[in-house]
Amino acid sequence: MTLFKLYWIFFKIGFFTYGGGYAMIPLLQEELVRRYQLITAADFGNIMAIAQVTPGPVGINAATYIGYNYGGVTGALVGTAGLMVPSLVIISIVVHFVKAFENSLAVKGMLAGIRPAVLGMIAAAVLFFAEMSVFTAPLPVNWLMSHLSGGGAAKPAFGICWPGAVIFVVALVASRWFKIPATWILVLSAVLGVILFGLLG
Amino acid sequence: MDTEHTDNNTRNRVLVLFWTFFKISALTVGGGFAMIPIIEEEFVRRKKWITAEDIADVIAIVQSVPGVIAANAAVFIGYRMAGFVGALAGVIGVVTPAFVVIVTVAACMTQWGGHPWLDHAFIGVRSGVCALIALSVYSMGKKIIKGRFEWGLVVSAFVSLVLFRVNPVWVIAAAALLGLAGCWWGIRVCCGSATEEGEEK
Repeated sequence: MTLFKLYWIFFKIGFFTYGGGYAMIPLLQEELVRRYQLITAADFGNIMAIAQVTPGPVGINAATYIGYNYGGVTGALVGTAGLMVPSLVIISIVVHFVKAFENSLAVKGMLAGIRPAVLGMIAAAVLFFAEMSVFTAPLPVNWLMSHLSGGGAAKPAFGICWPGAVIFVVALVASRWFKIPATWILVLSAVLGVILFGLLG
Repeated sequence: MDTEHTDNNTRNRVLVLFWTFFKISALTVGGGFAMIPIIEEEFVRRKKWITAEDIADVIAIVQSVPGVIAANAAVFIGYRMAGFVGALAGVIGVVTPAFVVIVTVAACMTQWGGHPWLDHAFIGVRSGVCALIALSVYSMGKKIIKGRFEWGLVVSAFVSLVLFRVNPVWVIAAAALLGLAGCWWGIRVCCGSATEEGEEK
């Protein structure tokens, strides 16, 4: 891992993120957690959580945090620069052809495919967060796959983490029906986490 | 675009671009579309640098190209007001507050990381984030999914990530090609519908 690699990872992420913050989660997870193992899944979840509650765009927050953890202030600068360069280059070109770009059938066609796929990817990100909060372990995907293909892998430990599940439901209701702003929901979730786990000992 | 700017001098405009995007980034938590109304207030109503139709272009373009939405908007408006230097000033404005806050938080985390209360708070926040993303999947789905074409893409993207661990980069590339192909064969969608939605949250 070098600073150039860090730059390249965030450049790729900047280039393939369509539709902002949440859409970036599966890409970051693939590159940082699975492929290069720069951070653990739990740390990654924490970073995304911090990025949601601090000022500034979620993507930039995440790049800065991960870059800092890897290489201090220089790392943070390199990661953020990697994320910003595709935007700078692409928009500096597109800005000259705004009308042609907006009316382009090719662009509309690509987006018609990309938007639903991004939605599916964000739905996958929901599961990823659930694995580290509502459930006690990653979903037993390997077991399920081997089960389906007739193999007999042993079923790994998997269950529901009750405090996490309760907070999930509270946050869902508070946001959907009581329209409480996201920042306050996350503050409430943090407090509930300390209280519920404290009660359970 | 050369409507009555209050200051004709490019250096002034570059400074104002930096400062305005600095404020926008510092004041919005969660990023993305939360900042569109602030951009409108600053650049359309107060400074009269761009028109309301330009804002429609900004919203359409920032969603149609890859990257962080807030940064895309900064590049787009910056470029129009003061060329590439303006774009750079806008991006640096968006990045700076996020950078300072996150580096501070990251430094504090290395101090206090590992305290049980902090761990419990984080499990809480991850549950809360999980609920918020789930809700946003639901509301995005209502806007994006119009028929079998979209459902097919949403489900395939989800399954490829969760069950087959496909790299999200390939999912995006394949979806773009499928969208193009769908448009080419006139299967549905892209021509006419799409775009104008303001996704997320």
